[in-house]
Amino acid sequence: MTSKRLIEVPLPDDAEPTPEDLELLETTLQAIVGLRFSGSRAWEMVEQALEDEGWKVRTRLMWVAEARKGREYEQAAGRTRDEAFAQLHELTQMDEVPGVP
Amino acid sequence: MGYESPVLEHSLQAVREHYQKELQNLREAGLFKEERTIHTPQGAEIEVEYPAGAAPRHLINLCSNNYLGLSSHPEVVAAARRGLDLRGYGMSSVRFICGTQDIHRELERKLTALLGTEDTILFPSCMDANAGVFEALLGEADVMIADRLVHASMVDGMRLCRAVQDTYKHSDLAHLEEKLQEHQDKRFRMVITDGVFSMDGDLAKLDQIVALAERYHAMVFVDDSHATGFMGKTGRGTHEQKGVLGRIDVITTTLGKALGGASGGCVSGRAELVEMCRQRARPYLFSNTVAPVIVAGALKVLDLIGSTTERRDKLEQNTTYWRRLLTEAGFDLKPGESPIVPVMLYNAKLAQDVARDLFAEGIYVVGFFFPVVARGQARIRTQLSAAHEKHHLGRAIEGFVKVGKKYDILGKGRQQIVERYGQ
Repeated sequence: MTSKRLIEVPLPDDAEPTPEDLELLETTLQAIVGLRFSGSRAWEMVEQALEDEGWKVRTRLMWVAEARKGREYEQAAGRTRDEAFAQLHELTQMDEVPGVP
Repeated sequence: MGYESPVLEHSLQAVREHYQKELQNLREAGLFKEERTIHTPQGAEIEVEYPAGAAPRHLINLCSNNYLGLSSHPEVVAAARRGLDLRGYGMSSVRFICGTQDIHRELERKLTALLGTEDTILFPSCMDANAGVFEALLGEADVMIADRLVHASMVDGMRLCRAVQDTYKHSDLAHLEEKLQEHQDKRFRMVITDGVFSMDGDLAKLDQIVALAERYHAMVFVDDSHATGFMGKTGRGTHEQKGVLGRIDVITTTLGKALGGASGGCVSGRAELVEMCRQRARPYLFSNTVAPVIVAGALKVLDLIGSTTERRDKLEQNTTYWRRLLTEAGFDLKPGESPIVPVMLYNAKLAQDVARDLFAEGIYVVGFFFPVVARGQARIRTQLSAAHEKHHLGRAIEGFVKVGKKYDILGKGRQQIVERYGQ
């Protein structure tokens, strides 16, 4: 197994990045790495197989929001973080109380 | 048990320990459901063995969905027996292969007439109907907008569907309108609600929901399980009660409550929507047809309630009488017009203690508390039946008053009860 390789980007001494700044940098780099270096390209073989079977396939980056409370777990995806959280909120509201038979 | 592999045996042991711990957690949290064994047919009076091994006790039943008192009606039983003799025990088939008898079609026609719709198909249960209907009708270009207190069966059905899932605050029509406006970019919109909500017994504002749906081009779906057979002047359901007969696109309901209490459910509504369910709904396609005995019993139920409103009228009278008795005694009730009458206790332990003491007084009720109802909204949900006579309710109120005095909750509202017992 190859060892993990990391990229280190030094920030200027006087830089004071906020948590949002760091998240933006990390997410942007992750997206670039994910799109540029897609590992074994196994996904392309799956895509081709599906298209051969008549599926129309597309990929896109999504935000995934998750919430957990005790045994309950909800997950929602969206094109923006707002969209993901809006859907997550609705999912948690749907089953807040299961009701009586 | 003879497992040869110590690895497998170890894994199984770990699994069993995990679930034993979970069950123990449920017991400690007071959430473990114990079933009481009933030794009689369902009715206003039943004999209950509890705890296990105890001699069965004679109790007044105030917690069944036997709204019209037909669960053990001799004519229904006789009709079911004739159904067994004439049409057999089981069909061993799904509907579309070799599971449709003439009596299935007859029941569907009669349910269509009762509900005032265009077509109806039977499902093994309303739970199955709700599990299959949304996925059969809607896709990812559509949206489902559900009241936040819809029954769990609708939530499960929505989760199986790829349409966008959205909600509106319970019975909040302004919020529903916002959501309908927000989703005008979708292909189809469907508003989803109970007709009568099972926790509080309140009715959906179907007249206003239908008006909004028509304005914003949305379908309306109603699960009317706690209303079919007795809500509305002729017992057609919440839509009749609210004056919107013929304007609901999809109705699901059960044969397992007022309509005999056995099992079975249906999807009823616009002809095209019902036919789509017949072609695509997975619980309809892949689950056994409703047994002939159940269909025969349900046909007799529809005959009995179709010829007179006597039973639904009596249920209405019982409901009014019981509410008056409880109110005059000083219990805190949720307002409403359905035969679901919640006696509010707010505290989970109090609800359990009151239910236990009522059992000792010969009254069978169940306490409901979080997570079944919202935290701090614990209650005893009483349910009326046309099988109840005045003497049942008179005896029941005696027991309620005695227990109410014991816990000093008579004449007290939420604040006072919570101050004393906590939330």
